[in-house]
Amino acid sequence: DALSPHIELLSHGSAYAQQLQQHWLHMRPLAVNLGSISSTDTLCLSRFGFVHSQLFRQLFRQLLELHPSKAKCPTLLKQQRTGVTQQSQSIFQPAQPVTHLITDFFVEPHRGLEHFYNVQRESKIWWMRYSSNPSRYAIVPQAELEKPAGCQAIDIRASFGPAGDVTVEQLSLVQLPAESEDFQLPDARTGGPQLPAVIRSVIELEPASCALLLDGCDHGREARSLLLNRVLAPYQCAIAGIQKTEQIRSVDLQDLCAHVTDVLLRAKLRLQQEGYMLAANAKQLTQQIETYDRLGVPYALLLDEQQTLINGLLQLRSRDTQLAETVHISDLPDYLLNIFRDY
Amino acid sequence: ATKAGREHYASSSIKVYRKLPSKTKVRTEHVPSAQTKAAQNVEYAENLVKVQMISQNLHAQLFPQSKREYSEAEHLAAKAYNAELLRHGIDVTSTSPIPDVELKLPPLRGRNIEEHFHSIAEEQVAPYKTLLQALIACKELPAKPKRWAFHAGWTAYDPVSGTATPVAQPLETGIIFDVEVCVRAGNDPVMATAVSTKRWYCWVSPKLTKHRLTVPHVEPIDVDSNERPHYTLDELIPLGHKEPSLVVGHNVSYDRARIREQYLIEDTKTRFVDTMSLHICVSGVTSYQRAMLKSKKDPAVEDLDWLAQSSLNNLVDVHRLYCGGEPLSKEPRNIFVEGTLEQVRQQFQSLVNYCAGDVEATHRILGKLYPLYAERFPHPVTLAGMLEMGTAYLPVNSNWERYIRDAQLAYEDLSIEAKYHLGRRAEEACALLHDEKYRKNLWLWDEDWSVQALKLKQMPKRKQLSTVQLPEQGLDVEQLRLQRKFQYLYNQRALLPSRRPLLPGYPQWYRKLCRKPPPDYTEDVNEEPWTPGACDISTGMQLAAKLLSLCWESYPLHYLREHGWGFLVPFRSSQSNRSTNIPIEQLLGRCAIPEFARQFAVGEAVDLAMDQLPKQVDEHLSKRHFYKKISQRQLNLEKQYKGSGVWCNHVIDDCCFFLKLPHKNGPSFRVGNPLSKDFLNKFSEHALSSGDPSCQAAARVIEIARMMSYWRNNRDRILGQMVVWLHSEHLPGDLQAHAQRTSYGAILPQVVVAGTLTRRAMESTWMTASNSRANRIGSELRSMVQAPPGYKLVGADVDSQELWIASVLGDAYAHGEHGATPLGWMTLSGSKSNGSDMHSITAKVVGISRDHAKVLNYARIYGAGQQFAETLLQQFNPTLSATEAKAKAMKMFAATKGKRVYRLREEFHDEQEDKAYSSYEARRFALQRNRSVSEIFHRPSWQGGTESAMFNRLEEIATREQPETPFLNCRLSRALDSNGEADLEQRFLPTRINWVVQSGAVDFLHLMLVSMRWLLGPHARFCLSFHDELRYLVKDEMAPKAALAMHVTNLLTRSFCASRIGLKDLPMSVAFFSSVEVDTVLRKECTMDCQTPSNPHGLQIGYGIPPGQSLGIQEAIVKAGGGDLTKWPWLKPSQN
Repeated sequence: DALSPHIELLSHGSAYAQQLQQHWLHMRPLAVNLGSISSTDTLCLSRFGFVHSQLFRQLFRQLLELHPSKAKCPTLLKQQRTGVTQQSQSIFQPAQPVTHLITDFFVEPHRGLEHFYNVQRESKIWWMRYSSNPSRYAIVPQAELEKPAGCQAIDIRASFGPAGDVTVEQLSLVQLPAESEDFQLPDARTGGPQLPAVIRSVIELEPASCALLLDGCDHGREARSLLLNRVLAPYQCAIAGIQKTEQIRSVDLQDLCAHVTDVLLRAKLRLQQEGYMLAANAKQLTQQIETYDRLGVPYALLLDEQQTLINGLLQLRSRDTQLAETVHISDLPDYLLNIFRDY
Repeated sequence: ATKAGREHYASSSIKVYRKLPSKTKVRTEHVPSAQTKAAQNVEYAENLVKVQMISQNLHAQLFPQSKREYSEAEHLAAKAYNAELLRHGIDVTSTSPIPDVELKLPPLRGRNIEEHFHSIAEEQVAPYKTLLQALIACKELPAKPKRWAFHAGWTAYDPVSGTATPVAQPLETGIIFDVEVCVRAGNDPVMATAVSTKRWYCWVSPKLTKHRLTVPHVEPIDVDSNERPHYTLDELIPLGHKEPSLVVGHNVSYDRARIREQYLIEDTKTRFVDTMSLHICVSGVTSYQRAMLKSKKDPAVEDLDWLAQSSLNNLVDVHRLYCGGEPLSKEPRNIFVEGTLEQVRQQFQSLVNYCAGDVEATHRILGKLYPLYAERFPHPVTLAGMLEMGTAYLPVNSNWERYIRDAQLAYEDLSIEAKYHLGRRAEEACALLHDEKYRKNLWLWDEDWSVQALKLKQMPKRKQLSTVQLPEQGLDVEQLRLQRKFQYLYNQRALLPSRRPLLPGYPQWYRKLCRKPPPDYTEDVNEEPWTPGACDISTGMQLAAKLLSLCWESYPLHYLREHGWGFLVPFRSSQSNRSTNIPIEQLLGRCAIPEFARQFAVGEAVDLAMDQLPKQVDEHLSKRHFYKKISQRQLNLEKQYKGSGVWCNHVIDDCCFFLKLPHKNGPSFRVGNPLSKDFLNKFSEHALSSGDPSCQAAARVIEIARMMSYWRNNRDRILGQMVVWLHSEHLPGDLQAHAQRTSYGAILPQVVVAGTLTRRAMESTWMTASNSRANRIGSELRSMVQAPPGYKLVGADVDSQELWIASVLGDAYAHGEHGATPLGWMTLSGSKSNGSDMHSITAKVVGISRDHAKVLNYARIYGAGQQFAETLLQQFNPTLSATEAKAKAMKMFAATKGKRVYRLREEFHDEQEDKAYSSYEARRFALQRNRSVSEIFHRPSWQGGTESAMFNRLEEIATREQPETPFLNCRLSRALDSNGEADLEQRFLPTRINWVVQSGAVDFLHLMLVSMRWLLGPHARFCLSFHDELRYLVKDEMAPKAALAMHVTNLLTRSFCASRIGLKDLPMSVAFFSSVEVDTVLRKECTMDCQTPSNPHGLQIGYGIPPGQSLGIQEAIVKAGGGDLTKWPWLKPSQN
């Protein structure tokens, strides 16, 4: 409908989503990753009912059999699944199907609530770190949901002011069916068997990526930059050279650009496919930088004939400050690697 | 009772016995008949000003000898004060009655309520007094052993032979005791010494002798033992004793916190006498005096008197004051403070001797001090109350550790968020460097925008640069070609400056926020990896306010070293010939020249024209001239400026005024950080905002700063609380089952039972703990005191305690009738709902909100003057000018305190008319006679205000030669003795006036403690009392009875107080608590959910703690199974 536009990620956006997925996988590293699972069972995506699904039981068994050392309480499982979006209210409709990134925490039953709050907090911080405005994220209790006994549910939502909210993550605390002994896990400290409580986190990758992309635009600055987080940005760095004269194409500068591109690629930094560009004049360069800003490229390396070709000094221009600092070619790529280190 | 009295009671068919001349205790019996219940109105009573009094049955039990009827003369007098009430807008008929209460109280001990309290308190303190007196009577302590045995646990020493015998605990029940702690090794004790009248004892920690603890260490549940210290009973000092025993010490609550049995849920009968508290009672000082005692300057002559009578509270000074002689050495103490356990071991003998020396000193002090105390605090309730206060106990459980974790995390999260916002703003601001746009920025124009360049050194002329090795492995032909082609560029690395400038190309202010990157890249991540950007930024920095574009009253903030934070107000639009860096055009674009400033500029221009100042006048001269003009005009301007900024006579560049931000402590203080707690608390709601509409961050950062302040200021004290966790075998049987999942423990707050001049208790963490506030991290602190399963916390706040004490003193003094003065009536019968209570009336008179009026009213009753009220008014409403505030304060004081009037002494009646003179007239008259005012006039009194009677009474008490509290006859500290100064010239008069009410409130509290102990015996454990609040830990099944006991305690205590000042009756409205809370956690009201940023889900959802119950008197009677207290087994009359 007209009120909620349909949104589909294009190549740049998909690349961004991939980065997000990678970071999700690296978060909470003690996890057992059960990989991608395809299933038509809709029960397994229900907010509280999933614990009754066959698939859930199956995965639990996998944990016990394949990862006995990690089958202790507390522990956690990760899985990715493709399916239909669960969200009804959002400011946009994502293209179907969407990827569900699911983390299940198995925790001591009597500390379920406490863990649940900790997970909420951790998750919220995780989203905040990727945002241009960390105050955008809020934990919203799902009061209207009908909850079975001992269950709790919250959404982590990104707010876009009057436009509305986007849910980026759903967290639910669920009790396992008490009659079932299949789900018992030994306590990590005492070793005694217990029926854990489950905290499930569901991130819908594509809508969440859209929300983060929107977030990058919604910053209230004059500059029309896309403020993507530097560790998630699909392209981390751009390389541009400016010629001394408009007419004469400088082979040396071109070679230097190619060399710097090569150095960065070898360091596994993410660059655009075309590598670098040569500007014939200052205006062209400014336009190019604006393009980089709008693509959300956090840094651009600027090379010129007067300086760089003579002494190796180049400009590292930042999207966020719109200023350039002078670095030496020998600082590459370590300086950039430090900048892009995911902390 | 008189004949008339008996007739009076005949209607309720309650028999009242005449008081007997003999000393035997008289038991009164009151059996309300069935009739009473049937005809309710016979229980109803009201007094001459239509204040509803306690029900007939209660009056008969509490004031058996007094009648309830009035003489003709009394009725006549009542007309006068009814008229006075009416004059103050009080309609005595405007109240509606509250239901009567029927209770059967246990029979009073003695003939009346006053004797009753004396008697029960005597009984409560008797065993401890005996023990105490034995210690005092012992002039010569047993001989100290020559050598102390280095054995873990207690060792007793034979006084004659010095033989050391291991004992489980001291054999006598009365000891003087001192504990030492090796601070660097934890909060637990390392050694202790004690002496009884028979022998010395020494306790040594197994930790010091390296003995294994008797109980194997058990992994604590839910408690991060690695991160935070984890104490158990085994590390503490056992004292044993099921029978009453007494421990004396200096600041004894510190020692008490290291005694094992004190942490058990069941109360032992050990009580503590604190020589420090006794000292403060006898010789306590005001904060001014404390500062004087601490100062090293020679004292002024007028201070010599009290200096000889007082000292600071530490053992050395207290010992010097009472005992004199050789000063105590505190040298060895340093080892306990700074040394290691090993050092303590090495110097064991001398350290035990030091510890024993303190015990001896405490004994000497006690011998000198206690008689002084006993004389000045004659009522047994005072000692009984102090003993009870010394047994505070706060039960906690695993939630305590969770609370600390949650608060820490919430704090860190928010500080990250604030930092992130500021970092973003800093990045954004960098762009102002382009085309020097910063010159036009109202906040950042005066930052350092200089830029450093990265320059290479000169290429050496002769030498070739050495070749930098570049990896060539795995490169294809093209890659190799390019690398070799540009090898010469890499080689120039040698020409880079050895100290690389940070961020060449960035402005200096930004560079200061950034850190130097690591020289190269490694895969492994160290503790705190380097991040690019402004990482060293915080809300505490001056830059923060500028980055957030903060405005005060819409003027941009500006910082000057000499004045702190202030703001810029433009007054000139043309820059004329003067140059300025201030972006004046932008400033004018944002804020037009306010009217007051416009007049200034215009006036100045006119003056310039008139003086025809030549253009070449020396700049300096002109400036001086200019500044002189400002000061001449300042008064004028100040009147026209309506805001709350503070004039500081500062003009910047002849185009802006600089006005200081208001500081909570007054105009002479500088605001150091507009994002600090105090500043935000007082002012932010009104005037502080961001000047940049696109900067949503500012509001959020201000909000965050406010949320973090509580935790930042209290964190260290809270983390430092010594929690002792109980193993399940130390818990009562019912609790052991719960202990598998949850840890239970307790905190013994370090209460100084009489910590201030007014004898109020002091404790640094719990007594100042504010209530939980939605925007304060960690402010749910108090609710983390949680009763274990099977127990309840029962308690109440005394409703407007100080107000009642003050007003009832006025009532009794002026008319001998409850509610007969306007203040009294408002306190008793005024109601918030129809606007007839004191705060509503003040609010109406002054034209402010009721909440603000409440603060002002209390400030006044605490003795604050008109000037203080002005400051408060301005704080509440920063847009109020000084003049307006003054007018309002004056109006309020005239309506409440009234006017001060002087009456001639009798011998001058012939010369001058006997009427009320104003202070001006009195002074003039005295001057004419060449005599002092006090020679000619009586002490002046207050007249015409609602509170005049009260202030007259307070001044009357405070100016006595030996002021005493009205209830328990407690004397004022020696340090405030008047030394024969004339009435109102006394130096410490305001303090003394304040003392009357405050110290009266302490009497009130002590009375309540004694009454509760009498009513509940061993069935309640005292938890804590903060000012007017009292909390007990009781078993579930006892909770309703404890609630009723609280209500009855209020009744008895107020009756006692009223009786002491000659009022043999009590108004119904204050007879009972408005509610008694029966709860599982410590919180102000049992329904408070204590949601805070660190407890976002509240207690109910987040911690699974349901709301408690709030019981009024009627509900409490029902829940307790009826209002017949004589049926409570432990109160059976047969026991008396």
